[in-house]
Amino acid sequence: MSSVEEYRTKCTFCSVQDDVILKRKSNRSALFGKDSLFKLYYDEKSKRGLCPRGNFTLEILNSPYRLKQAELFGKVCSIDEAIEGCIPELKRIIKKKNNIAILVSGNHTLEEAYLVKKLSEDLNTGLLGLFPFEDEALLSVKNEFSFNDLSESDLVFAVGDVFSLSPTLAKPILDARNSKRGNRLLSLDIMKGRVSLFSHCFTVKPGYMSYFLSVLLNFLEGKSNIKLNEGAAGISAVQMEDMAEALKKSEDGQILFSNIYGHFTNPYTIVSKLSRIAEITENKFAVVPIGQNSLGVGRIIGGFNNKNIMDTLKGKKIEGLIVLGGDPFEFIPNFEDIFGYLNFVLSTSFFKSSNSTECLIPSTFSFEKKGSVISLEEKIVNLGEPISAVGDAISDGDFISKLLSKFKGVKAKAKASGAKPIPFMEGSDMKEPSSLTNKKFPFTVVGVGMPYHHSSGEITRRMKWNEQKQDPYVFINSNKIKELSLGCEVTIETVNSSSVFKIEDCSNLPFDIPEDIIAVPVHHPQSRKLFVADSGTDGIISPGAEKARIRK
Amino acid sequence: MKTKGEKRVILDVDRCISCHACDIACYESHSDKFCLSRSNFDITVDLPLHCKHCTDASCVAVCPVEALEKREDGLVYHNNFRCIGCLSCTIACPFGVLTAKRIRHIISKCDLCYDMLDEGKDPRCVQTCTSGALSFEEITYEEESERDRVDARIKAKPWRRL
Repeated sequence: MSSVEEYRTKCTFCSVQDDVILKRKSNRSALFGKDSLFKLYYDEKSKRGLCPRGNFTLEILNSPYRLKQAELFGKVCSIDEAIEGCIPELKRIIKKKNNIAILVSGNHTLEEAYLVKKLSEDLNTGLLGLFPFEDEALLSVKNEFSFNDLSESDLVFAVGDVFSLSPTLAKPILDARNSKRGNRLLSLDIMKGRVSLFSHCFTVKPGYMSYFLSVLLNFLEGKSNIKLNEGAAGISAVQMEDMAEALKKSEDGQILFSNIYGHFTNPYTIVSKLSRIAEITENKFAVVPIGQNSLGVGRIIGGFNNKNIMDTLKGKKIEGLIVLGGDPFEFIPNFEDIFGYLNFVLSTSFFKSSNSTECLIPSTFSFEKKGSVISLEEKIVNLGEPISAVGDAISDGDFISKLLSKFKGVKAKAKASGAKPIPFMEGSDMKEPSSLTNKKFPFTVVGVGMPYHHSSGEITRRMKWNEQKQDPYVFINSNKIKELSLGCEVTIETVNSSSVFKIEDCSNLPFDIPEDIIAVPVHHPQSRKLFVADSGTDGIISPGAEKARIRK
Repeated sequence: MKTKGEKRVILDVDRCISCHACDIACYESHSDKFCLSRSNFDITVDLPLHCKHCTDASCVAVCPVEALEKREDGLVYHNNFRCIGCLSCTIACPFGVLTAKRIRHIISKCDLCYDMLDEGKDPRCVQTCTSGALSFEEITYEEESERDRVDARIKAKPWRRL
């Protein structure tokens, strides 16, 4: 019997990257027994455990539905055969410049990001973008964050629902609030979230956040360019002054921004305004991306290309698409419509896609690959490869390296170094937006993180974390359900699309849903397509809240 | 009176963010049984409820088959092999922690992860708590005497609600 070995690493499921002590055996299946799970997630030093999502990393690693073999034109093959089969297609496509787009996930290492950049150059394309799309807005920010500083801050100002999206940040934030009398936790969001229960909570109407922050910044700078329209924004000037006072008064405050698909309109403006507010009030500012290494990957590939990519995809101007580290049918809204005209789609993924792409490569997950990532504290963290990959699964870095050496005959090597933030684009004051709702569309649909991270059994894919809630579901205010006599299922329609959802009981939520808001967890593709993945007024892809209506 | 050195899981309600990490830790390590109950007394509160391992445990007293026993270390231990699923304990429990939700015909009950305690570690729910709401703390004599004082006041003035 092989001995158990301790391996110190990081949970790379989200950007918080908690410490993990992995107890491994040479036998993979012996390692990931049910009980061994609890010997590896808790770090004695940081006194923090992993969040439910982090716990499920192991479920995903062990899932029987993991993709283990490559597929080329629907047939199972080896990785080398798949690469050989791809090359003629790629050579044909790249005769025309910018005829292929590459989308890379924020869960890659820095080394892989450099190789992707090299791949885009060799494929004669500038269409190289980052997903999750919502992380693109954050690439200009240099995080001023440390867990120790956060737990000693006299003010934590959370914009967005930090507790839902990064639960392990709750401990240092609550430590900060409780450590001294007078310490404050403020939250600002478009609806109440999990953090609201613990904070002095302010809400702004959906779509008005960037406008409100522009007004707040003006107020802090002593200007009077734009005045707050209290009725439209849903927040009073007195509340804004209270917020400004708290920000000015704090000596070592921390502003945290957390976004998710379909939540904030114009996230880039929000980020730039928050960054400036932090600067003039002498507080620290950090963003919490969704992807574990979105900051690193996005900065290396250059960022801000998603608008062009989505425009060319929708305009049917390209022939090929490469998606690294994800299923395009899950995260690109209405990809089924785009997929039909694309001649060649290559994707690397952990799971088999619902629809087959021309070439599908089994990819490696966290713990199965080496490399470095940028932490929330802006440090470069080297990660080892504690366990071997399943089946033929290959890291995207190795795959690109092989592809490039066959393609050009030159072996590509990755270099590991940091990545600097991309300079801020010129920002201007946000004018008051027009109301999101009207007579035809009286509701606002808002994307939220999954309110439960709870399962009663096997976890296979992200959308099935909660076994009882596999189908796409929606939260509607209970008074509104009675008023409209809604049944179990409803169709939610936006200008962009419509989807059928099951109505979920709001009484289990740790917060209330306002009467004019419909909240959809955005882990389902059906939820994502409700939001327009189009550029807002700040020039980058920003799927924010949308006007909507309910059909029985 | 509890003996010195006994530890209990304490919940700081002002810290719980309802992330359910404790549930998952409990579920995964107890052969897919939910041993933690959830509160349902307010729609805005969703807290884990632990067995208090009472000094004079009424669940132990009512169990007809002695499936529940009070151990020397203070733990109220549930023996799965003896339990006949009569649910007497769920009625007797003054905190409503033992629920009638039966899995495999028997009740599910917190065992404080005694295998972890043997290793000198905290129960799994405490270890995994993301917000630091759960802690595993010693019940001290001071707390006991305070409780006694409160009891004495209640007995002296039973008409007063505290």
